[in-house]
Amino acid sequence: MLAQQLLNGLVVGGVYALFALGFTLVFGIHHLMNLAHGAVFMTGAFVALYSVLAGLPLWVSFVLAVVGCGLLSILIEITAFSRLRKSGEAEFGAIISTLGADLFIMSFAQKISGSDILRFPFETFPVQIFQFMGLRVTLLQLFMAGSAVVLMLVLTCYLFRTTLGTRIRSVSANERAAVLSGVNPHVVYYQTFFLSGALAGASGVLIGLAFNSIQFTMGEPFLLRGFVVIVLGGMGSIPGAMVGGLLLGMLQTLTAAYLPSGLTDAIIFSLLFVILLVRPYGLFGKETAGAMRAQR
Amino acid sequence: MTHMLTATDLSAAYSGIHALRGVSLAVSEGEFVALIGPNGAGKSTLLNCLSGVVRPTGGSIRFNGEELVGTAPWHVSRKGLLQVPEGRQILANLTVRENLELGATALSGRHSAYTLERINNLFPILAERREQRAGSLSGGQQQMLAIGRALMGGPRLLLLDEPSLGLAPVIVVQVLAALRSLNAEGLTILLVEQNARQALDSTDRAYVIEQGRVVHEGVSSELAKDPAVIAHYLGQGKTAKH
Repeated sequence: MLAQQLLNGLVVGGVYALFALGFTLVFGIHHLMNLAHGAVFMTGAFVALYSVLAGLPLWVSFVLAVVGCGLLSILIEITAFSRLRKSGEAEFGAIISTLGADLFIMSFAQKISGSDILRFPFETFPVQIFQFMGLRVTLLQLFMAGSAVVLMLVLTCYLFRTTLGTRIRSVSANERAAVLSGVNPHVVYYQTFFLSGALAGASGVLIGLAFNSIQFTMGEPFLLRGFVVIVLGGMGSIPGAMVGGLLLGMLQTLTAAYLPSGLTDAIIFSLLFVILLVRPYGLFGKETAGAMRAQR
Repeated sequence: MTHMLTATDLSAAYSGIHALRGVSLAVSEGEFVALIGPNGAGKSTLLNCLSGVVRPTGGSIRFNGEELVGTAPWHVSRKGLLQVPEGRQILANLTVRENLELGATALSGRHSAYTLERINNLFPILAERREQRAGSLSGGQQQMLAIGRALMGGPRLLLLDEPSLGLAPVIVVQVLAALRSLNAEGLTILLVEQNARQALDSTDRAYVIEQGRVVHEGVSSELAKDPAVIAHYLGQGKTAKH
């Protein structure tokens, strides 16, 4: 029973990690918080759902949601960040402007869905259950875990193994030096925002499929949990977001399984409090908060 | 003679303070030119105007016949006008190799005479420390990396902002020797230095800039003998004070 709960937690945690990775990527590279990240996540679930309802196959809907959310995220960069960056007021201004973007996207989704809870049609994802050493694993869970692993690998390879990734990290570390070396920082902004949005979109689809309850407000608790994950792991740390996401997923599943249901959030935020007391920079964070580290 | 770089009547201001008040200078292909002057004279502002980081309030900058004012700094770099910034500005958390790879961004398809092999011959330490974090290098090695990074971008004109800053005298000699050998092999260099004596000893021509204006210019060896320059910038045969 415990092993089963841990497995379920691990799967959900993988998706949390994906979501938090996108959030921490923008923070780690641009030192700015995108509070519309939860709305992008919700948009991912919406795009996939409406595409499936329109008769498209699930995999096409998934790709549409991922790419669409990447583009939406670039739009957020253009509308909510780039102008503030020029004025030098981005750090605090962006909290307001991205909150605005968040509300805008949510109202739009509310208008479309009429505030209803939407569901994928039955068997959108084939229901198939495997028994494995006494554990019960669904095909959907395998798909979720697989997607999380693949997307994380793609992201790390992109950042740490390609020239484009080197440029992204150089803008993160010292934008002026990067610019003098011929790097166009706007291209880097678009890339990181696209990656960030695509990860949010992917996690939105996966969570939408897993809980099959899609609503325009579904991004809000995730934004809060994404916060917990990156504070837990260390602001801007990529391995921190991965480990933090897995930890949060397991913790949440375990508390929900063994303790009264109302206690889950209380326990998560108490844990966050304790961790901040003991390690103010998070598990993987360094004192130079925000600076994304090249080492893994 | 046509110049590679011509700045004409360049002015720039920082929050109301006139950092440059009508500076004109020219650099010809193959030259090694120094720009000396006291702290706050506007030397770095001038370099940053040339690189497109600071937008001048007036004047013009022509590089190989092309107007540069208003060009984004990354485009200026991609044209082969490359700056080694003050304080080196290497990326400490990236490896030496990644720093050099980053420098190659400025090539953007141009052909470069400076291959990785040639840079490794010039600064063998960079080859030895390839996979180490750039932040683990000593100050002198970081300066070599900063120069190597700019060379990877295929410079037609190399700007250096105070490469001797914070380095031990013996390392400064090495860095200047490397710059002289690069110049001897055909690289055009504009060097900003506070260390006037060494700058004049290494270069062909020099500009002395003070309070945003060019106050002296000429052949470096002659400026080094000019009583006015000696009195103001060279002291009594000693190295100029910082």
